[in-house]
Amino acid sequence: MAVSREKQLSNGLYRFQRKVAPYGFILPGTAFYLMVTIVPMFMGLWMSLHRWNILRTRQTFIGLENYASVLTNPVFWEALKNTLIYTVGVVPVQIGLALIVALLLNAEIRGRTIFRLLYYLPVVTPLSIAAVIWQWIYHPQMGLLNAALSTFGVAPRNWLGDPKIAMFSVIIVAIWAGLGYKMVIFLAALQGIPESYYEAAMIDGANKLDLFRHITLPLLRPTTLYVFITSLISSFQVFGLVNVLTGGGPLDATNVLVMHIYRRAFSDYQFGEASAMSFVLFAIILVFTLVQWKVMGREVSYD
Amino acid sequence: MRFKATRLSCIVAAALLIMSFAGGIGFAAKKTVVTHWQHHTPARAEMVEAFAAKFMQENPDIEIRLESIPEADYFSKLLPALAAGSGPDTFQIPAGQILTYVRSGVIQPMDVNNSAVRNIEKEFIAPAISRMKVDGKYYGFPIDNATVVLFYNPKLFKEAGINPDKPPTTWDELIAYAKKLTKRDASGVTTQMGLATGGYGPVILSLMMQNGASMWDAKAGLPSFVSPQGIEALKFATSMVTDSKVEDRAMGSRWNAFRQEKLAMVYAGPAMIGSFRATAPNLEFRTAEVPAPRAGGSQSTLLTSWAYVVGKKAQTEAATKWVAYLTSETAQKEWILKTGDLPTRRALLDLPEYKTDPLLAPCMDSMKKALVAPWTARALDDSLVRKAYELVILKGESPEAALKWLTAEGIKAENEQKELARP
Repeated sequence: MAVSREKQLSNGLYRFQRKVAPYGFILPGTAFYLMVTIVPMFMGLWMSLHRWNILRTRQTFIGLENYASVLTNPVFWEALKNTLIYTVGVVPVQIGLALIVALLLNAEIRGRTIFRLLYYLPVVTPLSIAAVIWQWIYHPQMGLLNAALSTFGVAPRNWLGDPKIAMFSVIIVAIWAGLGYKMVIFLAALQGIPESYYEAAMIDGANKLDLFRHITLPLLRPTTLYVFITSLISSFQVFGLVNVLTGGGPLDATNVLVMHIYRRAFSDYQFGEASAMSFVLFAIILVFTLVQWKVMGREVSYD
Repeated sequence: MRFKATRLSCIVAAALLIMSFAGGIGFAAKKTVVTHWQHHTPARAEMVEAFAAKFMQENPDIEIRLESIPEADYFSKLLPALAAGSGPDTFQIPAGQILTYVRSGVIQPMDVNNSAVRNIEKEFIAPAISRMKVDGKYYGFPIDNATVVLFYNPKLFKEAGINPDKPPTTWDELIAYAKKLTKRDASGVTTQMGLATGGYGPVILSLMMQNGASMWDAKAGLPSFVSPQGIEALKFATSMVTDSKVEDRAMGSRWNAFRQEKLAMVYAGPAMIGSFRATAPNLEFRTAEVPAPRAGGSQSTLLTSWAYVVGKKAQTEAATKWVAYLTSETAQKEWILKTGDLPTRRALLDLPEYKTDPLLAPCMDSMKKALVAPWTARALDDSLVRKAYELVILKGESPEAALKWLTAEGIKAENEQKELARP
């Protein structure tokens, strides 16, 4: 039987709505994403294969010379070492503390809303302001920290001026600044665990530690994996906090990778090398993320 | 008929309206727009805004659009803008970078028909403009010129029994004064420093220059810092922290220490006059030329400067007029008064009002003795030198080893700069 004109149009409209229109809706967002993320990424890759002077229109192709130069540069390895120290210092401690605080603030205690607010305040404080405040806290002579420690007979330290402890000082600030955000994520996840699981376990004689080990932790695994991965990525990319607190000093003790990349690009005009370093950093982050996913992700259940 | 007439008159009125807008836009288009970028300080931004207002009154066919950018973000904004072709018409860059920008084709020579450009060599001191000239043409006017002088607190001098009218004139005298001016509490914690350099690159380089260190291999055209004079100068600077202990890094920022009268003497650029006045208005301080290594010795210091340049796409005449205005005699008098930026015009350096000003007179004298660095790599003006200094005081390296490191890194930086500036 021939299909009527009306039905043909209606089928066409249906196909358009199902097959074509969705692409139209996602097109602006996709185009924007391509323009600000994917295209610049490929441009960066192209730059990394050249001796790139941003002020000139013609550049010299040098192949992988920039990558060789990066991988044989001791300053790059020093910056990478500093970045790894920062990551190892910040990520597990921050996540551990965030989980503990979230567990405490998930309980029915008086004033828990105030506490949640206080823990979240550093997250909404602009980084530059927080860094300036911490510079004063860390001041060798007039700082709060040395004043507090002196009451216990501890000699004053030059927290940001001593290369041996400067990175430790930066790590403390980073943990303080990011704790609230992770706490909120854990809090939301904790509140998503059905109460009935705990009740059932308690009926079976489980104590608080058992509840934590066998119910809370496993059910938090997806959240923990997410927090771990995002913290890892952001700690490898640290820049703003270090820039304001120490500028990478003293004696490059806090010179992290992104800081080194920034300097090579905007102070030394070596955009090709800076791009190459960016891709090396990307590769490092990717490897760490994949390893993490493999180790932690296999037992993740979203049920 | 009546309807037709009404419709016709509406069309005519609309046409007239459109033409008047177009005419207005056309008239506005006759104004040349000059976009000006510079790095920001509150005092500087305020001054340039005032200059712009006055300039536009005197030049109604030119519109100045200003953008004052925090120094930390300045190059990360300027370089991509220049690369994209959307850069400003006039902007400031370090004087040593002019050759790089010329070879990259992003700036143009200033308008030779402008009298200030034609008379530049007659009116400006040679060290200030030596880097502005490339292939016989001038590409900028000098701005942000700084030497090094000694700031000191006369009140602390009197407390220590030192005559504040007789600041130190030699290195030995400087250290002797500094020792008298240094105070510690019962537990040995420094409560007042006698002297500080902060390891600031231009200060360390000035000490080397004064001591007769060469710092440049003329044959190779590359930095070379290892010499007995250079080693002695670096040792002198670092010994303030490690030996005589008149400088204590545990006291934090030397500027805050000076403001709080916990530091008696500090090497600094003349622009700190404006900074101290603005941030510590009750602070009593004086300036003096830097002490020489020995009696009758050199008091030269390093001259660091930036330049106002004209972008490739700017309208040459208007843009040159604007940057010439910013560095005119009148403008330079304002710069000195409000920001402490030193004048580079010969006529101003010997003005009686500056010769008799106790704060400005030593600064003007320092400008006459200032020397320009032979290198162009910016990192050699401060960051690398500061790191060499820190290698000695924080890592315990010898001054010779630190200068060997500085030479090696300086050669790398200078070679990179040469590559950037190749034709």
